[in-house]
Amino acid sequence: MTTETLQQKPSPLNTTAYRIFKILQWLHCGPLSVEDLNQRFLADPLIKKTLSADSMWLYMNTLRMLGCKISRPTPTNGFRHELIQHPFGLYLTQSDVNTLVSAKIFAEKSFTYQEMLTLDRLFKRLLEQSIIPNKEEQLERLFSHSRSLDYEAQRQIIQRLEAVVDSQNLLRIVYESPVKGCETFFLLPEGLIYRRGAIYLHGHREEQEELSLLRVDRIIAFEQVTDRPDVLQGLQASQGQLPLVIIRFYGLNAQDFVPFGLGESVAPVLAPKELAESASDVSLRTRDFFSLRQILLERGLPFDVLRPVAFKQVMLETLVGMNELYDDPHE
Amino acid sequence: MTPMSDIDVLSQEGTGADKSNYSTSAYRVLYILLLLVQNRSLGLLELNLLLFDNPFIRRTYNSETITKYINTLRRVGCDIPPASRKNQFNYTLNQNPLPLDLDESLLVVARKLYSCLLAQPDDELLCQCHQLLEKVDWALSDGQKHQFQFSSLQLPATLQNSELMYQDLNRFRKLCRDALIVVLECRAEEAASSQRVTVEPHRIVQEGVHNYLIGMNCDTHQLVKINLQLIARVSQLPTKVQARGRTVNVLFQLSGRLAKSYRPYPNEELLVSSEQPVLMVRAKTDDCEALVSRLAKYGAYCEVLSPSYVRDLMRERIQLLLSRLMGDGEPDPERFVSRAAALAESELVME
Repeated sequence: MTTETLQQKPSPLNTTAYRIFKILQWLHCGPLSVEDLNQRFLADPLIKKTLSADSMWLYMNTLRMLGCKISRPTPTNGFRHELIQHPFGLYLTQSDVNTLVSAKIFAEKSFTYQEMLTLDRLFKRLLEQSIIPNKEEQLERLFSHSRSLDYEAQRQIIQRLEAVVDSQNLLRIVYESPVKGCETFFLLPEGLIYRRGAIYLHGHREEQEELSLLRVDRIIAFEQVTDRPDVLQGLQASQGQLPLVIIRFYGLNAQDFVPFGLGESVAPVLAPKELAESASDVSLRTRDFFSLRQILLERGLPFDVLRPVAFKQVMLETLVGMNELYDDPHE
Repeated sequence: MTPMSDIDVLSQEGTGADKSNYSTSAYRVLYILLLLVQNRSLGLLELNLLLFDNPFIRRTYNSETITKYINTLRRVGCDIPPASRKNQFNYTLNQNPLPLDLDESLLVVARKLYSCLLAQPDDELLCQCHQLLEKVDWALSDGQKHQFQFSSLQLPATLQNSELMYQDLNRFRKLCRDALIVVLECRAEEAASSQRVTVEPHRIVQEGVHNYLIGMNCDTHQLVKINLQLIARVSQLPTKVQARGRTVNVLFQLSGRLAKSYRPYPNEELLVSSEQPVLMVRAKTDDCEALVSRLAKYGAYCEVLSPSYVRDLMRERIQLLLSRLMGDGEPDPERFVSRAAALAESELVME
C-alpha cells in the first residue's frame, strides 16, 4: 500500500520520460520536424533547452519500443516525424470487436444507408485508434462477419447517385450482373437502400414489373439521359401505379404480426366462422415483390395471396420449384 | 476486474524499433501509462505484477519509485488522483492523455445506435454496447465528451445491475457451451426450501425481463426451463452431455445467380464443386430451425442435402406453405414447371 497521500511536496521527475511524453503529445497534434520539436522544448518551462540529434533518436526509438509507429523524416514528408499510430488510445478487446460486429448487424435493421456508412466510419476509426493487435485482420473481420461490404472506395459514386436520385432523371446504366455479365439498360431511380450488408439503387427498369435492385458496387458506369422522353414517360407512369397486395396469414392474430417494414397494415379477418383458425390480412402497396417473396418464405407461416393474382402465381411457382427439389429425398 | 497486459500490443513489429538502444527508465514510465490506459485503475501490487510480466522490465519497484513515475505522468498532464483510501489506494487514470478525435456525425450515430438498442429485447447486446461506448467516452476529449453526453445514455432500470447480470448470463452461456452435466440448486419461487436438479444445459433464452436456462432433466428426461435468478448454486459434473451434439453440420447447395454471388456467413464453409455453377456450403449451426428459415428465402436456388432431418424440416415447411396456397388441394407441379424455369432466368437474386 502506498504512502503517497502523506507526501506534500512534488517528487522528483523522470525528465527523460517527461521529454519523451512531450514528443508524443506534440506529434499527436501533427507532424513535426526536429527543429519544430526543439523549439517546443526550448519553450517548455521544465526543459528550456534543445536536444541533440542523438537524444532525439533515442527518444523516438523509446516510443517505437512502446509500439508507436513514427515515420522517419524524408524529403517527401518535409523532413518531419509523423505519428502514424500509437498504443495509448482506445483499449479494445476481441470481445469488443465482436460487439462491433453484432452492433453492425443489428443497426442494419433500422439504419438508413447513410447512417450505415457513418457507422462504418465510426467503427473503422475506433479500430484504427485502438490498442488491438492485427488491426487489418480485425477490420476485415468486422466486415466479413457482419457480411457487409466496405463502401469507402465507392463514396464518390454514391454521392453522384444521390444527386441523380434527387433530380428524378432517367439513367442509362452499365451494370455487371453476376450471371448475365455486363449489360446496359434504362432505369428511373427511386432511391438508395441498405440491405444485407450492401447498398442498392432501386428503381424502375424498362419492361420489368418488379422493382429493380442494383448493387451499387456492381454499377460500372451511369449517365443521365435527356433525349428519351418516351422511355421516361413510360417508367414514370408505372412508377405512380403501385399495385395493392393482400396476404392472408393463417393461425396468426393481428396483434402478433411482426411488421415486414414495407409500409403494410394488418387487420383480423372478419369472417372467422369460415375458417377453422384465426387469420389476419396484411395489405400494402409495393412493387418490391422480391423482398416480399423472401419474407413470406423465411417466416414459414401458412399464407395465401389474395391480391394480385400474378404474385400468387409467382409464389406458387416458387414453392412448386422448391418442392421438386425434395421429391426424391436423399437417404 | 483482472488487470490486463496485452504484450502483443507492445509488439515493435513494423515500428522499426532498435531494441538495444532506448531509455529504459522512460520506457518504464510510459509503460505504466500504457497499463493505466488499458486498465484505468491499478494498485501497486497489480502494477508490479504487470511490470514483471513485461520481458523488457522483468522486475518490481517500491512505492517510492512508482510514485516518482506516476508524478512524472502527472506533470505531463495525466489526471491521476493521489492513491488514497477513497480509491482503494489505486492509481486511477481519469482521462485518456491522448484523446480520440471523432467528428460530430460519428458521435451522433453512436448515440442513435444506443437509442435503437434500448428499444430491442437483447439485453446482452445492449450491455456490451454500453460498456464499449463507455470506453469510447472515456477516451474522448472534454469537448467531445460534452457533445457525446454519454452520461445521459443510461441502461434501463431493469439492467442497473448490468455488470452482475451480464456476468451471470455469460457464466450460464459458458456452461451450455461446455456441454457438461450440471447439478443446480434451485430456490422455489414462493418457498424457503430449495431443490437439487441434474440437468443437461442446452441454451439460455430471454422472456420478458427474465433469463432462463433450457435443458433436459437427467432424471425425468423432460425439457426444463429454469429462471436464472432462482439458481442458487451450480456445480459441473465431469460427465459429457448425452444428447446429440450442440452443433450440427448442415450441407446445402446453391444454384443459379445465388451460386455466383453468395457471401458466406461466418460459420459457413464453401466447398469446391465440380458441378458448375452449383455451390456447396457447409454450415455449422446449433439452431436448425433458424437456418432452415433463412435457406427457405432463397427459394428454389437452395437445396438442403444433409442431414436428413434438416432436409425433412425444409420439406415439411414447403409442403405446409404449398398446401395452404393451393387451397389444401394436391400440388400440380406440371402446371408450373415451364413458368418456374422462365422465372429462374429472369429473377433478381439479391445476395
